[in-house]
Amino acid sequence: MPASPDVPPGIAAAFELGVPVTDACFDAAGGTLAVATGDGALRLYALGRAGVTAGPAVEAHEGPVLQLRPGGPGGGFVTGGDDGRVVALDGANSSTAAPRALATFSGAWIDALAVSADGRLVAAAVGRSVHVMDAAGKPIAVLDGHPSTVADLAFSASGGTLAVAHYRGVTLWPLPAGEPRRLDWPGSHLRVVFGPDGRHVVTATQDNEIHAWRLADGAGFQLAGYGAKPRSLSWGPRGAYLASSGADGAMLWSFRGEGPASRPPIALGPERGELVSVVACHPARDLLVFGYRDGCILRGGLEDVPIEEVRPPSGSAVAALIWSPDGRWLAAAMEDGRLEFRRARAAGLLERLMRRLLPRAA
Amino acid sequence: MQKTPVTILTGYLGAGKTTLLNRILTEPHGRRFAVIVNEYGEVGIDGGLVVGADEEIFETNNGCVCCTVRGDLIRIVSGLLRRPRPFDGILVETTGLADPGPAVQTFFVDEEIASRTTLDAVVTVVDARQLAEAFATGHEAREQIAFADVVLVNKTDLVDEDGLAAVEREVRRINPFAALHRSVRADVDLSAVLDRRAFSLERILAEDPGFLDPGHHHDHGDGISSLSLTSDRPAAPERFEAWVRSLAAEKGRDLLRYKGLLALPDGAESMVVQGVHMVVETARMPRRAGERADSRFVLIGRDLDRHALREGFDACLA
Repeated sequence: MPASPDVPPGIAAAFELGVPVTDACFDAAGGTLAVATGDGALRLYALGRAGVTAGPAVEAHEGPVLQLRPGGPGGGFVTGGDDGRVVALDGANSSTAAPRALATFSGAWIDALAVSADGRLVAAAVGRSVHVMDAAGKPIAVLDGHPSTVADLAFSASGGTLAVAHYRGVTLWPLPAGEPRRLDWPGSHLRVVFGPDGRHVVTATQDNEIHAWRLADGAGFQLAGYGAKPRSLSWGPRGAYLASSGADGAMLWSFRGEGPASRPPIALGPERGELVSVVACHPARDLLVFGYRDGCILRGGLEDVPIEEVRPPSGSAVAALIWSPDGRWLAAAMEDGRLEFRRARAAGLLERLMRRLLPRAA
Repeated sequence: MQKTPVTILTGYLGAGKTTLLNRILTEPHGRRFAVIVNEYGEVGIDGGLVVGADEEIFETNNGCVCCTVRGDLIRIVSGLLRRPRPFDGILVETTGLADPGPAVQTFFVDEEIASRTTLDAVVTVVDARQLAEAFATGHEAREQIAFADVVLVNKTDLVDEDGLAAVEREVRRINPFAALHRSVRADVDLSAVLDRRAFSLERILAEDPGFLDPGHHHDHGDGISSLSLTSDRPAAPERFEAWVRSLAAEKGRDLLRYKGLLALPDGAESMVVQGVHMVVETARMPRRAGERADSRFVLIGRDLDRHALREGFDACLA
């Protein structure tokens, strides 16, 4: 895949994939970005001192790659496709990476998939059931009894609990075995994430809302005000806030203290009057990048980080925004198949000074 | 981005939906269809793909029936739209006992789906021999006709002319604006069921639908009926728009489909309206040469309050 000749300033590398991008993520080590596409391939890009090197396009699935997660033994990635296969790609850093089917559920679409943080557990939804397996594909558990097709899966940070999103709520399964706990809320829950500190489980719903449960007492918080489904969720440093897509501007809910219902959300970049499609919090700093449906990308932060344009609008929606785990690279994928890499600028002297000198309200 | 057209095929058990589906797929039209059927699994067909769905009816958390959608359709259509080579159309076959409402609403209520697809038409297949029986069994057969843009009266070879006329009268009583076709083994010209753009306001204007047949106002069966409101006078656009929107908000639950074409006092424009439950679309469009200078509004719904609707409509006339 040749780098595009017209690389605008600020972009370290750009590629035209020519197919719709469905998802993208870095491997755990942060050296390789995988981009999943509608043609069933996984395209790999290696980051190095010299810049970005396009690796091979690995044929992972027969239909589109529906789900992509970092994980598996030795780094790499796990994918789910509409060919019913759960595929692991080991050793993503080498050019000899070969896909390996962990499981095949013929006739099913694997559109919910999770890998535990240590890479040892993989969970894939098949209709209303969830199949939990180890990194070699050996079955560990089949979780049943969900009231609808499973929409999303998430492991807790320790891997000891699996959250399953479905119609009318979330089911929390202790692993490897135990009685499930049901968190109820009407409507259809499409995405589920754990807060980084494990205190909350958060879903995005069909009803253009976010629902958060505090696990200690089961208290629920209904977070509304979206014009579309807030499908993209990203936690700020140490889980202080949750950024979300689906509104005009990125919506930030504070998860400090009393929890998200205690103060109104903060919207970054609402004045564009365009829906935000993707949000991505920097892994360490109070810095958020968010992309709109017209392809524009802005950056900003909760605490006096000025809003700046990262990318002008181009027509095609931003499909994925991914920080490398060390926060030094930002990858942006557009729905139409354009992929761009940027080197993150360290917080400038001026920005740091402003943060110190200016009052919070400024 | 070009929106993918979607056709919903409904019909009571055994009416001939699958026959029609196979006919659409095997005609030499050169188009690539994705088909969503209510069986589990996925099989390839010539130039297309068949995906099985589990009908999953999702209510919103406020319990509003008008916002009920088919969760499985959202999931599968989103997946289909991710394929690199777009389909020329998506065909959705509902089960024989399904109320088509949630499937229809999915393409209006779900913003992601609505932004990338366009509902082309609801096609309902009716078994000419079994209609009375289907009506007697439950409300589904009536709802399927009520939602239709095209009704295929199928198996006409098994019923005599009087019987067919009676079936068509029954269909017309529920749905005065659907296009009616007779068929044997669903042998209908594909142009009768595809590319209908039945929900397009431009199309309603262009067809100047003879959708009014103000003869039949009988309430019927479990309360599904139609009402045609007409006047020789033009309508006051602001008043009409306010009325139809409040009607949709308050009575949308019982309004299945409605369409209107109303002359406006300036003589240069018409107002076009169409709705499904609470979803209303209106537009002012230039009048075409020869267009009638009257006002017509047709509603299909449950337990229509004819008197109140007539009064409300009359109050919108200029």
